[in-house]
Amino acid sequence: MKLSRRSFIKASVATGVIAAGAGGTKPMLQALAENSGKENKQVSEGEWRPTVCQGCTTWCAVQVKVVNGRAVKVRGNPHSKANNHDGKVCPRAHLSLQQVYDPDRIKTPMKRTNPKKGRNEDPQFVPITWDEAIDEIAEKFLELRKNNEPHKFVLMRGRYTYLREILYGAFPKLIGSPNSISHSALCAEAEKFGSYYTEHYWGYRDYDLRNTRYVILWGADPLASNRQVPHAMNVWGEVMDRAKVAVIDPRLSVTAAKADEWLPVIPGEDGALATAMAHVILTEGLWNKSFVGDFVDGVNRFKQGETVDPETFQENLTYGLVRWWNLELKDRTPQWAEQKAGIPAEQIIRVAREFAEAAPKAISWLSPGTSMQVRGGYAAMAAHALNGLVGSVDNVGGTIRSAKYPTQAIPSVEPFMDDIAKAGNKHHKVDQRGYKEFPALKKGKSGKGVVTNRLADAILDEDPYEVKMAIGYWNNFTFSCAGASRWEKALEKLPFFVHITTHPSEMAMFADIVLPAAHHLYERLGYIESKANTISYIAMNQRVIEPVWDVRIDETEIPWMIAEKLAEKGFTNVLDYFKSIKDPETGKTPTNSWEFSEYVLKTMTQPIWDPAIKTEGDQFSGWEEFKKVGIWNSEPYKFRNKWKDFGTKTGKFEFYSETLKAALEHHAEKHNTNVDDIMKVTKYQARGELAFVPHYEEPFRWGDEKEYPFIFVEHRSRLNREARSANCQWYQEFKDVDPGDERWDDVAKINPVDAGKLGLKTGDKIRLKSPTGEIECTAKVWEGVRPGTIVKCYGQGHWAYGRIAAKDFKKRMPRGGNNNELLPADYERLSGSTVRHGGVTRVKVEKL
Amino acid sequence: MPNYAMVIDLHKCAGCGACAIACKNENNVPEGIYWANYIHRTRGKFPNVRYEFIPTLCNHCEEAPCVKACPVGAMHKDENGLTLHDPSKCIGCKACVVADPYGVIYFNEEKPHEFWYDKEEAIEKITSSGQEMGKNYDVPFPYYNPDRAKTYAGVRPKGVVEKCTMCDHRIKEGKVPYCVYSCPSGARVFGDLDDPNSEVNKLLNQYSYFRLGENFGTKPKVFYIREF
Amino acid sequence: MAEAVTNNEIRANVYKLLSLCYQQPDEDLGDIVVSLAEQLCKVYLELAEPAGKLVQQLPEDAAAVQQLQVDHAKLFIGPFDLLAPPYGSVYLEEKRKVMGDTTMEVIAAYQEAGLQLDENFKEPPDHIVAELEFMYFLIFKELQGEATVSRQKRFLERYLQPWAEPFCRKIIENAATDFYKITAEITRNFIRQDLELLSR
Repeated sequence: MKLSRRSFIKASVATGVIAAGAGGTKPMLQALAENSGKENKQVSEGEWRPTVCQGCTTWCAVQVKVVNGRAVKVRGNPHSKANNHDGKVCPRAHLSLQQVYDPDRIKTPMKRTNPKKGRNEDPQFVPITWDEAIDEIAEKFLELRKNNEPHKFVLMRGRYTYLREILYGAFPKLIGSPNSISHSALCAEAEKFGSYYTEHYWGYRDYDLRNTRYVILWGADPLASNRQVPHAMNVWGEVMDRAKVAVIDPRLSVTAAKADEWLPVIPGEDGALATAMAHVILTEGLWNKSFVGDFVDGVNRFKQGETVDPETFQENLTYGLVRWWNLELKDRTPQWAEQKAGIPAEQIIRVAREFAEAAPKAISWLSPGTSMQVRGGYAAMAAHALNGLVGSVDNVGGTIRSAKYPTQAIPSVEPFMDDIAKAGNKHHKVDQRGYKEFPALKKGKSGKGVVTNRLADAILDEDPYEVKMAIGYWNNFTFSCAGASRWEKALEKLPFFVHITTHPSEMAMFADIVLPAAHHLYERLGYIESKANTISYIAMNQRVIEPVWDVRIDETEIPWMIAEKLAEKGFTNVLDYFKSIKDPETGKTPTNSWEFSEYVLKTMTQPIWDPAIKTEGDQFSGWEEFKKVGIWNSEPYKFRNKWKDFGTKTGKFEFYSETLKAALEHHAEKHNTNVDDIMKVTKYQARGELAFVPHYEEPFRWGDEKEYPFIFVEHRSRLNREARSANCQWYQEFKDVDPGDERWDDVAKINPVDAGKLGLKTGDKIRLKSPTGEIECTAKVWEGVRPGTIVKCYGQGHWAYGRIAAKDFKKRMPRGGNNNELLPADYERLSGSTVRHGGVTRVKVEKL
Repeated sequence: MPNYAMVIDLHKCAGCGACAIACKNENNVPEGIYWANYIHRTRGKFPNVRYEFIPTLCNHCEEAPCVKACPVGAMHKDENGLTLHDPSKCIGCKACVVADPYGVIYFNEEKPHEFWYDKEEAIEKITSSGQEMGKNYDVPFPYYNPDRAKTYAGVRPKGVVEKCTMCDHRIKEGKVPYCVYSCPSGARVFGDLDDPNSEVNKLLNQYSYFRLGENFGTKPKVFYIREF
Repeated sequence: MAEAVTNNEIRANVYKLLSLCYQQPDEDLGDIVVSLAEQLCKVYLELAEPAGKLVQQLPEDAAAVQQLQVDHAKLFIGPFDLLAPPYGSVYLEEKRKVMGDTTMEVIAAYQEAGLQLDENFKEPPDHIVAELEFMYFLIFKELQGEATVSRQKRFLERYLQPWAEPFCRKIIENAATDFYKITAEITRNFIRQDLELLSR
């Protein structure tokens, strides 16, 4: 029984001692109460546990609210300084609850019993045990190795955490295959091409939004997709208060709808706008003199159509400005661009002028839209070169890179590779990278980049050799690759295919064995590196709830299980290597797949959490604290550090790319030819020195205009969790947050002018046909698209994946149509990137 | 007693729908029912096109027609100016639904969250059914939020109406409504209209505002400032 | 040794009485303030003077009581735009968030000591009343022979002292009555001294 406050005070006044807890007296409490053994109510109501959302490539540090072992909510991790201020997170994160608890998840390993493969073949899957599944996989590996053909195994990676180092990095090498094939070329390698061959940065850029005064978005829609989405949403109100925003996009995206300027470019003509803007900046003398330099006598000689004597210009931190002008820019007038791009010259001039006047606090923001075009490499360079012209590269309010991520590598696999493995690894990678027509010039080297989508052709044509076995994880190439039907054919042909997945995806339908994967946000271990808001961060995927079914972590647990099985059968190298990765705290050797996963994670992140290792950024007292916080933040970005030496061939920001020249010449030499020939086989129009400067290229389109009158445009959904969320009710219920789209439907948006000509109205069922494929969907008559184009969001059209994603899962009937069945398999070949933008194909519309 | 209201800054609003999705999450709202929702429209002719997005919710009107229409007092105003609903009194007559000019009150025609009682499997023995997944948990569905039940039925039964309560269960604990908390762009502000220093009053003094259906005479308590 | 024990008693009493000072003012206030002054002048000589002043500020009539109650409400109750929010997380978390992570850590600290929030206490766990009372509790346990000094220090250093400073500053800046201004001054100085004592 508690004393009343009055009696308590009286007692104190009487005795002069309140607290004197002379034996047996109870403390006098009002706000607090002694715990009677019951769990504290507040805590039993739930706990926020840290992990990572990989619903898009932002890779947010999030927290999951767990109540009695159930995940109930998701929010941003408040410890994040980059993307998730104050617990903010984008709508995608909430959808993940309907993924992890989706009844359509695969709950057990399964095996195909119908040997015939095809979309309309029922695989007749039957459940098997993990041991049976792993045994069969191990047998296949041993067979390949016995026949000295371990390189005929391919590991296909989709989304990943940095624990990829095991399954994607170490494992194939130890087996004897060089074929770790990533999805990266589906993402945006062409975009990285733009920043690499100007400022030597092969990566996605961060942007100093808080300080910027002008933003040009080249097809980017940061309120909805691309990287750093929650941060952009969080500050966009302020950005628009302070800065002007111009959006170049054939469709009215949500960012375009809110922008000061919308430039609905004719698809694929971005390069015309970028070069014309550069032309305006130069002719009007608006370039950044301290960054770029100036004419020796201060007199601007950049006059339309006139070449300039390089001797008259003294360049500072850039290289090749005058050559760029003479080779390309001098004739790229806004009036010329208006004819090409369908954007009024005065708008081009206004944007260029105001952008340059706001500089250097100005951003020219690249995205897949401008770069993932057949001839998009140079458009990406041109758009990025604008940052060079105005000195916003690596500058306050401009476009920046990331801080260093203080992680460490796992031990080398070399000592554990036997002769079979060594011989296998000597083979050329199977995706045709580095072929004459696929330079894939990642980081300046011929054939260094991946050409993901060519793998289907490689399998079908057995070029460079036959593929006998593959494991795919966290990917769905039959859905996500342009020219998707080739993948169906390729997987039909593939003799043995293992798919690791959460859902019965389109790709799983072709598998011989399907293994249920742990969900990345709730059930696994891993870590990611990302950046936004001038902060780089590392966050950990953690198991915040007990998995619903008997799932395993794709990148670590499954290879461990295979390694154990291989060791049982006499091939111990893989397991020996895995066991060489110890717990950095205790030195213990892993004894099971979970310990192994944890030790790899601890090893790689050790510099962050181990107080004995000195690093910048957030500090931790040890592993336990890092786990609890879940994220490490760097110090804010240090601007202008790269100005001393960009790392290009010349050390400067290159308008005339000596770096690209060297890469192209090396690739040409490798194939005993010249750069002009390489330009020709990679479908580019440039000849001579034009190949080394950002320049305009006419768009390359599939299909004849007469037969296929419309240019097809695709875009991203703000609810896509990389095309894995269509089986969530909330995705369908709120699909109309993508402007122009409809709930529970998949629409092709068409301008009223065109709809009128075709006699179409909203809700009509239509068929879209390209030269390479066709899909069915619903027409939506909408003003937010340019006449002459058909605009459609990516993400719907699943014929598998689950009972909501597909209209009828059992009958393989899709909800709408998958754009990738319409898009041809084509490439920006210099980077290896797949192409889906720039109006790569024309289509025709048929009313059903 | 406070007089609660919400201000939505359309300039900050990114039109993402996180409010509507988070609301479903917080309040265990079944498919087809939207306590938080939005309207959007596209105006003009290409290329001079405007797209607008207006998040919506119950306006918690001062002169609430739904309250006046309710014959049994299930729909009522509370002491903080909120329009609340008591499912135990509700007779499902839908008079409120008819009277509500904003379309924010929904009637539960079906058993809610039927999805989690369904026995169909995508692939027999390989994937589960809603029912099989649901059985793993002693709540109506796996991500059910128990906090909702503190002041209202955790899930509202078939045969009664339901609507936004401005997250009264959260307000009582000193928290803001979950749509406000979850808005990634910070466009929503919740507060006391009677407190001259509240953030909502500051915004309403700083900007001109509009409300939906001003001419209905309902005196809505959801205010919109600036343009999308 | 004996001196230390005496001091612990006084420390405990002061924490408890300060905690009571932040509850809604009622008829007990006189007893509380007088006791506080008695306790302080035994050891904390430089706090004796303000404590004396505080006694002088005690309300003498119903109107004065009401004035104190209004001031208390404006400072601490709200519900919106409190002049001096009495919750730690508001100061310790970015963007003035209530029920932030530090709040959870405070709950954990209570739990570790075998405590939970009283069910009649309708405020967040990091409320000033609860945190001051928790310090009282820990010292009380120390008096009973349980070693809690390091826990006292950790709690004071990590959770209470860092926000007590800005919190008291807000009261001093915004209070309408001298009563709360002086209470804040005493609170701030006492906590500061106590942390020094524990850090020795």
